[in-house]
Amino acid sequence: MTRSALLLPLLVGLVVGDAGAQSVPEGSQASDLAPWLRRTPSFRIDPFRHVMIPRWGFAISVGGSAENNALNLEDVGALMLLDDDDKIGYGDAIDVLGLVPRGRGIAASGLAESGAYMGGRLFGGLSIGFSAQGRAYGAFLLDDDAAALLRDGNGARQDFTLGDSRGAALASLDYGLHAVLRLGPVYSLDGPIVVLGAGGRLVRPVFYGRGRSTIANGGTIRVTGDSIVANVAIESHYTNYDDFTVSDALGSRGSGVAADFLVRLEWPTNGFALEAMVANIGKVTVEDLEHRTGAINVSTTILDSVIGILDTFDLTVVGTETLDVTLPRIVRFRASAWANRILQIDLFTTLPAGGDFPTVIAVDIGTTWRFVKALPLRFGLVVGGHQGVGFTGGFAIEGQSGFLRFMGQSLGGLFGSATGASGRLEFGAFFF
Amino acid sequence: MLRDSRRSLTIVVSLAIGLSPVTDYPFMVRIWSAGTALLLVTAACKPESVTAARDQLRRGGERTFELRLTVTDDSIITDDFLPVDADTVIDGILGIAIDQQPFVVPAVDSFMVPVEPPADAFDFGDFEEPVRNAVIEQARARLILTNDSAQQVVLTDFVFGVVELNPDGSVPRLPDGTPRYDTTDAGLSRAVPVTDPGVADFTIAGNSTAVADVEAGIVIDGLVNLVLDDRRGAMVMSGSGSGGGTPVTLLGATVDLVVLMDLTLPSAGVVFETSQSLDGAEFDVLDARQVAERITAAGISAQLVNGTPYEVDIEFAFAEGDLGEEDLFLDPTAVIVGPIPVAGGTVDSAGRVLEPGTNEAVLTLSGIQTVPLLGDRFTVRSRITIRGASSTNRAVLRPGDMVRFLASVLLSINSGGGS
Repeated sequence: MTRSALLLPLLVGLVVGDAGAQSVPEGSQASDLAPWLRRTPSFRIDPFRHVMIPRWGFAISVGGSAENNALNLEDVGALMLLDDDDKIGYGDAIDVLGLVPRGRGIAASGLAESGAYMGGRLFGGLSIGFSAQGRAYGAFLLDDDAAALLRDGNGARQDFTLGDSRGAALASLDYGLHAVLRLGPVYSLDGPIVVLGAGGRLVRPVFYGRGRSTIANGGTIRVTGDSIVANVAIESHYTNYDDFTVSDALGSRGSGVAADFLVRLEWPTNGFALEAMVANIGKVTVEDLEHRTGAINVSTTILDSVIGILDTFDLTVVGTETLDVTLPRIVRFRASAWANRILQIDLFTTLPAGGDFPTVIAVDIGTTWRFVKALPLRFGLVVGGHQGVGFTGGFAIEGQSGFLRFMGQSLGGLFGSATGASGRLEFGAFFF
Repeated sequence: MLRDSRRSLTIVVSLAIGLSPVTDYPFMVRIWSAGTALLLVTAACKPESVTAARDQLRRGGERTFELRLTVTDDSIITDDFLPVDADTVIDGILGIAIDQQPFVVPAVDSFMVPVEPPADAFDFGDFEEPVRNAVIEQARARLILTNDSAQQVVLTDFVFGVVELNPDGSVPRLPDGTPRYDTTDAGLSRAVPVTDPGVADFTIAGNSTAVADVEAGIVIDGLVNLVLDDRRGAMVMSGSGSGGGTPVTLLGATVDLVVLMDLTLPSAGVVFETSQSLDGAEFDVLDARQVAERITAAGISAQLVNGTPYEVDIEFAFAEGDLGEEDLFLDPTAVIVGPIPVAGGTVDSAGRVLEPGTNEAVLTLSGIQTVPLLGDRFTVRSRITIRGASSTNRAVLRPGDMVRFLASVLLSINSGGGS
């Protein structure tokens, strides 16, 4: 079955579902569903994930996502097999580089989080929740101007640059307090319920590292048949542990805060919901970062001299610094609607809004099928990111006493053809 | 749906979901859904063979990775290996200085003094082969003679020449007792007279030093040929003298030699070869073969600039490994490139270069021929045939005369285009 064949039924379901024009049929699964269950969980950063639950309880969750724009899982499998047989050759490397899309360079990113939450309704429509999470972000970009040298060689093109190549990673412990206030319905009994959310997190960095060019536009690299001219300079900052202690694990190398805001409108009787969320607004100060620099400034006609320089090139420690790291801010818009008595459709888009981690826009289209109210099945599409198109699937058990959710994503293709993958597991239990 | 038979295990479950029309809602359009699919892949994505793995990695579109490597970019400038100073550049012609050779003349009433220079006195460096095969046209011998006595000395029949010593180290003599100086193939004696200007003898005042500059190309040419052929040759000063009626017993003499690079080359040219071991692309055997198999085109582009007056043919032979001075032109496994001719520069009437000669050549290699360049080390043996200027085969080298070799290889390596 081809990818398009798989997409077809989902697209048909979305189109003919007429999501924006109907109300929830009385007596249907949709009408009988608690509002918080209508907020479909996502793989992406969502500080309000659990505080939307208006019952006292706790939740633990673990999830991760990683993607790149070049290699799929079968490629990785092939490399693993060649590596097992000790047969990875230069020709294989050229083939792998040939998979790097022209004009986009090599990009990869990842997100992982794991933690616990506890919270519930205080009074009226006000719910609060406390969370403690370990979270890690990472992103890497090798600019196409640099990748081209490896991918295409220097036959037709001789001028290269590091361009916007850079990479950064942050691992932190986040201690959060979030609250949501449900108001309404407003205007009328059928009017929308307004949900306002706000919260903050104390962010304690455990590890931070970054590397980038220190010359504007990435410097210059010119490789011709008779000369090599290069003027590039890079720097790195990273947390260097001599001995990793418990104190280090709890984030003793700095501190920061992040704020999150949410506005959500729900029309329970006809199944619509609109939401806007801004998350991860803040900076974290990371201390004791080892700062290293290195530069290559060469103009030669002797290749051997360049090889010698590269063989001995190393970054030199120039000191220890403290940096203010801007967290990857996101803006997300979400809309959801019920297509019929069992099908909910969600559409949300996540836009990067700055920060020290290069991310790209992504659009998620999700469907939740409740043939049995407590056993939702989820399928969806992801468009954007580094991978193009991805597929989402998952199922859950959502009862009166708690919930258990499994979700997976295959990004860039299905399974073996995937250039990225996500997985998420959530478990929650309610006290009362 | 089994994606590929080479996958070890792929289980596919297709689940078609038919949705009943929702008829109890007036705004609901009739919904149907053809279905959806659930794929459960329970096996790892490893292919089952190396071939299948390589096919997988070649799934990208066919591309050409072009790699241009500099094989050599070097200049041979005469200044680099010949000293340049006022004593070694005479009339703009570059020369090679030979270590001073001391003579001791015990008595000048009738003298015949040989000096056998050591074999290493004549170090022509990279020019040894051209010099060995060429005729040295000019060499300046500066004789510095010191008269330790108070009396003026007049030397007559004063001759500076070269002889091939007898096996016992003695100087061969003619029946009249004078040295039997070497002769050229044309029968010319390899000895030159030493006189003051305009007169037939050479005078040294008492307690003083006199200098005689002698054009001794014919002498030095003979001496160099002997020494480089591992035969015993000696410079000889001979003659007779008087000290105003009183015999002079001691006379010190020193010879400064400068061999000017004014050479006449044989018509067939002078061939000399050099070997050089260089770092390759440092692929292991597997990588080198793998890359070679992917090479769709390989060419060596050579740009040669000949700033000497000589016509030059350049030929390269290269083979994998550090092979020292092995004659790769006799190695059937070596790859031979060339010869590439480069005309000598245009010269003036004195044989001095006005404009350098140039040549650009592109030679094609097969993929397998590039294998030696892809390993850890490879050895290049260069065969350079130097020919004289077309008219007389005679030309001179000047400071700054140079030959520049620029050669690069352009490899077009196929990637992708697999299944």
